[in-house]
Amino acid sequence: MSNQYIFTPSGVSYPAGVGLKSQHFSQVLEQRPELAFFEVHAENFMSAGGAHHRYLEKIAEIYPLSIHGVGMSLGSASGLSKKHLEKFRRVVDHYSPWLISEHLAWSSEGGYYLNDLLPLPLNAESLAVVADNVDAMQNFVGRKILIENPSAYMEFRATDMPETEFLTRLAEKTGCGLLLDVNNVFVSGKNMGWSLEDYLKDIPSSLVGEIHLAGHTLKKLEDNKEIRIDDHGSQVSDDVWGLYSGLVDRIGARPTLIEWDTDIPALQVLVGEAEKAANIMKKDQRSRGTGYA
Amino acid sequence: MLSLAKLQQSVRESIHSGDATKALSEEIIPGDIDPAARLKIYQNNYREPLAESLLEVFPVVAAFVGTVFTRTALRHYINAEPPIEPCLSSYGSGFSKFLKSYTPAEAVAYISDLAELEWTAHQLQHASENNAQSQQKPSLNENIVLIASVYPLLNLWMVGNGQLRAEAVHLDQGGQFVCIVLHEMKVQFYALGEEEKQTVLALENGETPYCQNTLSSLKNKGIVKL
Repeated sequence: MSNQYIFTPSGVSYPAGVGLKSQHFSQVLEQRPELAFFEVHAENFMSAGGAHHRYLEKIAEIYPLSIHGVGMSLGSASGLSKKHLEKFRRVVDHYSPWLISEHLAWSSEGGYYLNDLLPLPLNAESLAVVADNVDAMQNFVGRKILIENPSAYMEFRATDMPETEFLTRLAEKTGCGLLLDVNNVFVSGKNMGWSLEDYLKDIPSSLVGEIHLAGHTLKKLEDNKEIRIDDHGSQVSDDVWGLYSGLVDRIGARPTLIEWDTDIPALQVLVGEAEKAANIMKKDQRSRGTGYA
Repeated sequence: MLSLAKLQQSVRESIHSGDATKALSEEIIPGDIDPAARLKIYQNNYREPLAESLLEVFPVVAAFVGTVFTRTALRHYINAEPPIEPCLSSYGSGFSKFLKSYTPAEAVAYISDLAELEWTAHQLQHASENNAQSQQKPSLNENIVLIASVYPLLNLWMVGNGQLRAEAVHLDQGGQFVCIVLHEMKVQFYALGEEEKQTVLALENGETPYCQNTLSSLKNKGIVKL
């Protein structure tokens, strides 16, 4: 398994990117926005053909790509789908992405796909299952992958370790990296009553290969209770920018992606969010050199 | 406590059914929000985005029967035929057949054929094209789908996307034999005349049609390779 990135952009010290959306394809090619990279969902590019492939091939000639999977179901007790692994690898082989990532979650069971990133009880049994699946994926794809922390709306009684410990032990067992989604830290922390500062402090900086930032919604439930939903449908909140700024201050610049998947705005709005992230990284005056560790 | 496999089965069943069993609820730490309410978030996360993404595949169906009706039909379809793989661009093939037996759609029976046409276009948009020319004898483009409809299907589709005025089309105009083809990176729609239809059916049966004019016409449309 290769631990080297296929294409590492040179001279990019403040690597901020955005999720690439089909409504922006032409504009990206025409305007060439100043971004370090684009990210796409692997599952959207698993078809044999289509205009979206033709656009992405052109865009990939200009910008580094991050391939972000949402359907591998790394938490499935029944293991991974060989068919889905093969499709994922074809996408990776075709586009030679700079970064590859998936989620600490599961989405398939009993032959069905549940179209969501579902939570796991965080314990030894789950750790063994996820580690086996991560090993299988990395070995099959031939690349190191980054595992993203999920947004949480419930916890299981069978959980007996914090999420940060689970992710750290997973990385130690498999050699994977972490994709630290700061919006998910905020959403999960507020929903579950975790300390946000402790969470971010407990993640070893050497494991963080990418950071995600996104918007969320405060939803009112019946009986007036509230819960935060990670809907990727708005600007990054001030709270999340604050957490991100503190994180960069501690660990330095990292490839940072703005996610926006619903009610998608104009491209310049996404670029504006990415510029905010790049500016936060620029302000980081630590003695790390010009880039990121 | 349930094993991970049993827990996942239980959660999956809850998401599909929209219910929360007592056994599953007891596995969840309630906090200040009831486990059933927490599960409801995942139940909605499953169904609503699926329905919305399928709505984008069937805009002409929605143009005829309304977005609310279509969305409701899609929710019932999702319950009847849940997705089985993460590549959602290939989910929805059964919606046309589902509409045939969907009681609320009885009065608008033509929407099943419209759904089939829209699904076909959606699939062909994701297909790869083999541009090699046929060397020996005429053959059909491998990226075509034929729909024999008892309704003026292509005309209805054109009304649905604004290319024809509604007054120009009547359901009793008779059926159309529609060919949808991926040619030169574009999905194109043709209502074939009788000679073209017979030629295409002959080629489909492995026969060699002899009318050169018809073959040329079909070649120009990308339906036949010569």
